[in-house]
Amino acid sequence: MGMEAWIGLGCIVGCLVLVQAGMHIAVALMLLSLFGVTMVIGIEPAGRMLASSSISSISSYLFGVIPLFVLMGLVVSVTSLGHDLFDAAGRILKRVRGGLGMATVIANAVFAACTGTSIASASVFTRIAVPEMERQGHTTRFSVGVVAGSSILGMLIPPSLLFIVFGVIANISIGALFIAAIVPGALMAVAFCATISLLAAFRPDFVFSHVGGHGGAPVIDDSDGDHPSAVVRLWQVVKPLVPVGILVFVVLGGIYGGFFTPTEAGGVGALAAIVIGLVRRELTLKKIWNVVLETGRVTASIVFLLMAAQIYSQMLTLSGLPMVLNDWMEASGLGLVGFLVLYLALLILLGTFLDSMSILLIVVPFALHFATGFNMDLIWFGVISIIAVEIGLLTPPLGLSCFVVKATLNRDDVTIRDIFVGSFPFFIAMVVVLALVAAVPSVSRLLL
Amino acid sequence: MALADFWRRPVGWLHFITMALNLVATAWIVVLLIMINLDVFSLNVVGRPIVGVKEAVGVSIAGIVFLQLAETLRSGRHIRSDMFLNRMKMTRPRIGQALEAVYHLTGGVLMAFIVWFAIPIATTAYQSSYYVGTPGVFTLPTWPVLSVVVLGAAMTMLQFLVLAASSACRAFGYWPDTEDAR
Repeated sequence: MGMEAWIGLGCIVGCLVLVQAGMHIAVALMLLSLFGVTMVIGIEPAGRMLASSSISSISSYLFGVIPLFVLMGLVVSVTSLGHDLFDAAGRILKRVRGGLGMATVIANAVFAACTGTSIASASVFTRIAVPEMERQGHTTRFSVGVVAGSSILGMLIPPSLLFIVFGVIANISIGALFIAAIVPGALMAVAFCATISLLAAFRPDFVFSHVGGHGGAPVIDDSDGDHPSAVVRLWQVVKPLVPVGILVFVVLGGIYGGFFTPTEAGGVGALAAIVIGLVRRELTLKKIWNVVLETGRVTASIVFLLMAAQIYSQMLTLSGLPMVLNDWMEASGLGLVGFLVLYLALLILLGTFLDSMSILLIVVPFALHFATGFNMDLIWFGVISIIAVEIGLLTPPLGLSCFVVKATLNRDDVTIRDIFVGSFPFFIAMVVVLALVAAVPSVSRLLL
Repeated sequence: MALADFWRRPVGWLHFITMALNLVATAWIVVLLIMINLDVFSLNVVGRPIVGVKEAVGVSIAGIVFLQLAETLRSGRHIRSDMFLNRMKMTRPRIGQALEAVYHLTGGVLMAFIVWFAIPIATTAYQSSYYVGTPGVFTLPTWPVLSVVVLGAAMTMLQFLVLAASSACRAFGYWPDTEDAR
């Protein structure tokens, strides 16, 4: 192994250490990339590379997708659309055992089609679903576990910031990634519902706080006095879903039907969300301004990371480390399956102490060399990478979704440990779905 | 406190400038939203896109991001995993603050690098009238947005250095009033 490859390896390890020690991720990536490039080609060209890649890497129409989808997600989060979804799903599932838990999962899945982050899903549904589930006789652990678990759908079901970032790093179509994620995302939601059903049947003590609990959905709405006709009742269920339906149709339908590029879908979706919020009188100009302000901050922090990722991947290429490792992997006789298992295990392991975005930024530029070497379908590779990375949202010590639930709930009687324990069944479900999508690549190709 | 007074004024200016840049960036996002929707509307109703929207959107992102960078840093929103650092700040406050100072200083130096090497890029773009787009159809000079990049990076550098200085003060046992010192 040559000198340059050692430098490359040192930079990766250094990155992991610095990020863990609390340095800003973008700063750590830039620092070590600058160092690595300087060691290979000298400081003057390294500096020029850093400056020009920071500018050129973001001067593209494609990047418009980031602020627009962030804006749409934030607008939807400040309206009561999530609440309507939860209510409607609860009504539909009220006769099912564990139905309220499933309602949370399904409401989250649909909500995820309007937002791109799991943090938004986790905080919105902590406020909506946890009190209601507890009121209806579910254990606190189960309630917070369902919310934390199903929040991961936020970044799996498109639009999703993680897919945008993956698309940028891997230089593949974000629209195609979005469409490829629909079926695995739906599959994940189904797996979560099945998990709840199994828990309710075999571990009722985990789900229900007392023997009488049946886990049906709110019964309040049954007592409307007179008995409305079936059509009226159907309309009552469907009506609150119309605004969300419009948003999902505009975004996913627009991209899938080829009417919109992802950037355009984000723009139209964000505007539609604002109009819906205004019509429902849930948005004031002040609220809109604050949401746009927040959009700017999220955009700046993500694009700053992407700038850093750009120079990092150039550093990797210059170091020649991927080629060295490729040779090594061929010599070791580790085939495609061996590589995949190692790679996914590494992502899950890193996920226990790093956040999803940094894992993608540090590992993917590097793993892509192997994926292309093995002639893999990069879209499928993206889908499994993101599922694997998202598993880390639920694992201790640093499961971000669990911490968001804890922070939003802000109750002394609910410890972070309760949330980790409660979301453990969903962690298992995620591993199963990951294995399935990894074993059957065509799952992510169904709609393409 | 003489030191605090000496410190407060430049920090106040920096704060003022970053807030102003932040306002511009926020308004710019609204413009971006309107531009894209007009473009989509025009494409689907009139049958042709609005000339120049694609180029303008591409250029906008760099502008928005660099205008927002300093304020995002100030409000502590740049992504980092702070579990170790927070624990350090609780148990060994001085070491925690010293680490924080080093991290912010590093950020400041990197930003200085970007500013230093971005200035020639911006001046060359101005002197040679670089543009994006298709000549004869629509072109947009790149120097304005490159100047915004230099300005934003410079402000971010200053913000990093201010944060580094205030953490360093704390590491040495001098705790300035938290809000003002940022």
